[in-house]
Amino acid sequence: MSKNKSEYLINRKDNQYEVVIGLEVHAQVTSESKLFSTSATKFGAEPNTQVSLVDAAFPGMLPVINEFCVKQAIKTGIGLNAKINKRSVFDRKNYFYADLPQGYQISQFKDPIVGEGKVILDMPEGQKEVGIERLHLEQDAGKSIHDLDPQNTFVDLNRSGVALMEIVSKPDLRSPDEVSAYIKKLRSIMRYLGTCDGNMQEGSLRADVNVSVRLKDSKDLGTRCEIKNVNSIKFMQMAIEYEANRQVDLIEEGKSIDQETRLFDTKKNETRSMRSKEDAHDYRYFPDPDLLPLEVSDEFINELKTKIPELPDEKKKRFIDEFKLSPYEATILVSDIDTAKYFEDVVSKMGKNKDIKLAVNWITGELFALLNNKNLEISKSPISAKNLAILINLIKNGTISGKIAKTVFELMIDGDKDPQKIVEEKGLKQQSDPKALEALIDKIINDNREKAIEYKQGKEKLFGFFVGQAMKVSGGKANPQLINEILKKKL
Amino acid sequence: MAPAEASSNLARYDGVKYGFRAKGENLIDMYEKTRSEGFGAEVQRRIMIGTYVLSSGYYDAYYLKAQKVRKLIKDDFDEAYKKVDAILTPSTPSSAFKIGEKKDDPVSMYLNDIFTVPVNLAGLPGISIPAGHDVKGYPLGLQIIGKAFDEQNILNIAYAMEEKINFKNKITDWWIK
Repeated sequence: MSKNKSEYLINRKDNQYEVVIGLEVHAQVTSESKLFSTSATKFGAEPNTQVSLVDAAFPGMLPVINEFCVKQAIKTGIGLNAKINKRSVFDRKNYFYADLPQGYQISQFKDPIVGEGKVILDMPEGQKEVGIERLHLEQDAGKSIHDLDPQNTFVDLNRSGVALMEIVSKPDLRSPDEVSAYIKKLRSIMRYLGTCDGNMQEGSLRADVNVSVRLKDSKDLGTRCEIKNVNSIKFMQMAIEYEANRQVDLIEEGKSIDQETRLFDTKKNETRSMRSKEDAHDYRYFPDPDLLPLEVSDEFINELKTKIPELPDEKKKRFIDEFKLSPYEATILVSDIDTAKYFEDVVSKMGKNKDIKLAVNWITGELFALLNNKNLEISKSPISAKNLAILINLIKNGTISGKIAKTVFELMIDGDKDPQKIVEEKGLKQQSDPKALEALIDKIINDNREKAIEYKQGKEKLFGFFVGQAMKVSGGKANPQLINEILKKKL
Repeated sequence: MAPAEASSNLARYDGVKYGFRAKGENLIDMYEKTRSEGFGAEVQRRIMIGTYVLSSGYYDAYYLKAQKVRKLIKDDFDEAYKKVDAILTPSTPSSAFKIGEKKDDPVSMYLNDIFTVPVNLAGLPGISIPAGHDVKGYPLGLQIIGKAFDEQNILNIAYAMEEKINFKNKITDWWIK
């Protein structure tokens, strides 16, 4: 690892500690129906309306694998540069809980569908590679609802049987920032692939975080604690921060760390012991006798490879090569598939004589501010890519100034109006007729004789005053470049 | 292997969604009472055996070993099917025993399944037909075991045998004796 100032270390009197983090991410597969049944998977449906006899584990019901979910898992594996296992096995993970109708979860234990892979993180200090240990397919459980009644727990089985991909990282992460970048990168890749919508609020993306600490430069891994089901990046970072410091304090006090499962309390900002290693479930994994091993052919995998879209890393490279964007700009634009689509849409709508730099500035500046303000996703942008492209072209060809463009932009928001029309209707077209501008400037100089003399005597700051006057008199419509030229000549 | 699968298969009878439910102080208590009261002694015994052989530390010694034995059984059948189309066996070593008769000796009871369990383990189709009587006049069955996916063949054989055997039941009140 690079030794630079952004290295995340925990300092105590004589010691510096490094934090070692591995993640188990549960990503809900984007699919119409569940992993082993034909029930729908739509989020937010009335409780227990998307439940088949299979999902409710009625006697005699048998699972049938959903081919689409298998394809989604393989595509994700390809996106993670991972080895696809042509033979994988579904196992039963046995435990009792009210929202687990079968009394076991169908998962993959020894033989997952996807093996080792890697993802690249763009950190401020450079790129970092994070290893993927495996990806396996499994069923989600139902939802227990404890807060609707003081005595009873309600169970909603809509989620029961929905396909999940569990993506296990290697213990390669070293800071809360890297964890954030890793989650965002995984989400970005899966959204590009259309294999998981990555919506953490709706629970489509959840993670268990494994944290351990060790003395800096040590090669051995410390005892780890697993923090369960932290469902936002911010909470994940807070939980890691707290947990790492707790472990360091224990070591400094000469105590040992117990391997255990912990919960993060978002209100108190602390992790609490949930169960120790001794109390850990014995899941009694064994191959599900209802399902044959899953075997896929080379053709099946190769066919899927042809359907992989351009992924964020390649897109970034292309944006830098083709559009001469800086790595920073490219990273921002490719991080979310909808942003990348919007940008490419604007670029293609700008036509031949396009100013890409200007487009980048307008998207990451005005448009992002607007979306942020209105709390909107770019896919719901009130200004379409087409109209933004027209606006940028109006600046580029000198029809309006950048300043006027901001006014036009504001007017476009309500109803995604055509900027060309706004400019015509409001008479905002830039004044670029040199003769008219010369007359205008002559008048200003005449009206401000004393200032003109001061300027000539060396008070150069006053140049700005004259530009300001020209803009004011013209109602902001004067071409600022021409104003500059004419003023220089006349003064 | 059979109890291992049974222990997991029967997990769904937990009193939560359907079937018998006993009242409990909490979820775990409800599970324990429901399953203790709802399942009979033999079912509970098999669940315990199955849970035991799948437990960590015992899996390799029992379940994994049993998987290997199953493979050998399957190979043995495959070998036999190189020479024959179907295999004929008794369905059970003796006629039916009385309810509760082997309550204290479950192993001898399990031996009653000796001819049928290997068929399931090997994943083969089998059919049992009534075929004769023992000295007490109780019915005895014959089992025809076929190759994998060769159900039609054993159904044909069973039909032909049924016609020739022309079985007549002699017991009319067996369920109360």
